[in-house]
Amino acid sequence: MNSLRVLLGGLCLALGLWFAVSVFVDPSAPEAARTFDSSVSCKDCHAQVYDEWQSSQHAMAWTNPAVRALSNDFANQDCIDCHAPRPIFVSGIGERVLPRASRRVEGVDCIACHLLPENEDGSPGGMAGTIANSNAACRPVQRVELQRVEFCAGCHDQHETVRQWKASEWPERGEDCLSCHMPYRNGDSNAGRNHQCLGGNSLELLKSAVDLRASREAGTIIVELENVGAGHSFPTDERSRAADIFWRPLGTEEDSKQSWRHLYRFRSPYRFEVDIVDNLLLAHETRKIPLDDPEALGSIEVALFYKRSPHYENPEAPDPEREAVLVQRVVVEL
Amino acid sequence: MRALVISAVLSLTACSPSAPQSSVNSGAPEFPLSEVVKRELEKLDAALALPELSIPEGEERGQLEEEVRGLVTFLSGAPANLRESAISDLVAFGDRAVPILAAVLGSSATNDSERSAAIELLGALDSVRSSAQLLRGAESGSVGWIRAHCAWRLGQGTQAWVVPRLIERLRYETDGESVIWIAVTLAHFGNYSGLVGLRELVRNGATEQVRSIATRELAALAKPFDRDELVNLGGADDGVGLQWAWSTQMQTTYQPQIPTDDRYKREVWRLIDELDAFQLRGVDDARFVLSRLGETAALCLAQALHDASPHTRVHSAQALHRMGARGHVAGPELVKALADRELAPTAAEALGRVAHPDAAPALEARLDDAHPLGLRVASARALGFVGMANSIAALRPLLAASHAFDLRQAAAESILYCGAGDETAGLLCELIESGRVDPKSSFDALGWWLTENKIRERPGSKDALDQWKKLLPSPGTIESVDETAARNQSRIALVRSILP
Repeated sequence: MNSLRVLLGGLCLALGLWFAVSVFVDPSAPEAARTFDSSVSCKDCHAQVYDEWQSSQHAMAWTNPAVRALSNDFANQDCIDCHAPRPIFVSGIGERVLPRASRRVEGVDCIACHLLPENEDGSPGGMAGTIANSNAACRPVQRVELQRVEFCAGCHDQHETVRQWKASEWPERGEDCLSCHMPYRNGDSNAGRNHQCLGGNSLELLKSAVDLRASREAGTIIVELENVGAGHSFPTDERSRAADIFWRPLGTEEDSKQSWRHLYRFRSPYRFEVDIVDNLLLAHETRKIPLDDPEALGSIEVALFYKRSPHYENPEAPDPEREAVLVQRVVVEL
Repeated sequence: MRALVISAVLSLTACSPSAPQSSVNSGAPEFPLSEVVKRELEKLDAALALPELSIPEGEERGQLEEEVRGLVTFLSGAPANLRESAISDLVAFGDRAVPILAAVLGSSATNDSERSAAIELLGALDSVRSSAQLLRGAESGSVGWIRAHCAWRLGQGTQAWVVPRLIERLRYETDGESVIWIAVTLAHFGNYSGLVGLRELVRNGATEQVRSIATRELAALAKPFDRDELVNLGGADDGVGLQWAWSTQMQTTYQPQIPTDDRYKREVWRLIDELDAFQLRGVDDARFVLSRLGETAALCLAQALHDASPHTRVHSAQALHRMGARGHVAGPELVKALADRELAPTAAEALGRVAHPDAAPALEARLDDAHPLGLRVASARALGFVGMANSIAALRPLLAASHAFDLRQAAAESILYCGAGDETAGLLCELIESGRVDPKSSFDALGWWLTENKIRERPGSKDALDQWKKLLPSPGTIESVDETAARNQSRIALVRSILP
């Protein structure tokens, strides 16, 4: 008898389910937002963006060998917050980011920038995009904050990059982080923004950031570096970046084989380097550096090299051509 | 009939078009939050405010200054038998002498002997105000000997509240002798976080004198303890055993002999307050110091897990994580913190390190898929650090979580740490090769596994271990991506060669 009741109950349950699905569920209604556990999930629909991101420094934020070495393999947790952040919309725009415990290998990923906070009932909050699209699998909702400098500030203002920009003329000129670092593809706003987020790893951007000049004035060579295009100090960011001006005599074949001589370094030091002065080149600033050396009486060449890790293998005899990137070079004739 | 009603209700509920419900509720009601740090600081500030100094005015003030400066001058050249009386005379002035001594110490017009005398007199006063001036000297004295001398003097006194500030200074101090005396003073207050600096100076001190003083002081710090025990723990005169014993709280004898007080707590809360700052520099300094303190700080950090600021909560848990066994008193509060969604993953990681007996069951309960991925990964990883064989059964099902690579990785590493390495070493190799996980923690786990006794008994394992050590990355070297990949592949081949 009991078995019959259970059977009858089960039958009713199945009928009830069928009835409810038929009556209450609108097949055309959008599904609720999904949970995304990995940025790899985004690749199926956003292949171009995914590929751009994968070639970016953001994607390498956790795995980059230089970062691993300089952060002691993240042993002291100091760098985790920005190199594997929780979603910015969750920790708060303009707020300092918080470290996440999973998927660290994905670095600063799709989820870090686009995932919205959960709803109050604990259901997934969906994705933020520049346009809303209820038909897309991730159901993006439009969030203009994605385009604001404050969005980048949680990490990039740790070393005052956003503050440097705010203190410059660039905000008045309507140029912000995205203008240079996430421009529209081929300049077309309909093509979306490039997610490679190029910066100091792009020679093109480096070249457009500064203007190197040198001239002979009253027997002394004056080297000038002007920050013409970086929306912030050059180089920005403390810790790892450095820009060095080198020179060497020019003329004979033997001269061209001579090693570069160091003239000046632009850098903000690590906090432990208490004896080094912060001398970044501010936005719009021109710095004049005299070169007063008896060996510079003839023609010389002056070059600006950029380095994404600050130390040369042999500080006494640096080899910038091998260890750094040549950004600009000028010749001062006799 | 009852079955019919229940099935209908269930059907209607299941088919409701409303948003899906998470099986994990918000932690707020279970884990109350409030302005903990603000409240504690206000309370301590009110209790510890010093009464205003009664400095005389006019002629009387001039007389006081003359007398104190006279004592400084006298002491700077006094013979040994008269020094005690000069110091007694100065102590009679009490804190009224402090601003004058501070002015002597800070003046570039004062000669070194007088500055040295001022430091000695400030030390003799041994008050909050005089120690604050010595601390200032230790932190920002213009030359190394002043910083070293001030640090040493603080170690002759009873003001334990200076400990957190000295640890912070230790992080940035570049003068070898100052490092030595900061470390010795910290040890005087039962804090052995300076041993690392002393050991570094023994090896790489800038001068023979610095190396020799560091060697002497390191041996002196170990002297009060059981030599045989320290040798068993890794070394006596070189500080290794003592550092290990202090870090792991193996003996109560390594606990502070000078008790902490409310002023010490205030310094701790000042640091915890820094955890909410925007700039990570300050946060990192605070976390560095907090993680090198002991039980008093651990209890304050446990309280701070309830602060309204998520940054304060998360970084308090991180400080406990880094404190390790010295933070074990925070264990019960960390278990409760697993109910706070924002804090839970960090609390889980910290639980793995503080080695509290309640940790394992609480972490095992967070492994199922009703919990967010971050918490599951952190809990799985933490169970490896707790290292109890009983946890293997709870971890094993996670190895099949095919979509969540780092969950599988965390479970595999922890199973290895819990004693069943043969079961998961091969899987770890596969996961590393997938490129979907961070190889570092897996290689750490595999390296640990290779040194296990039962592996060492296998044929060829000694050679494998030797080769493994040769394949470790050289400190300070920045490899290319290809170099790292090649080295990783060699290590994977090595592990596979000794798998049963």
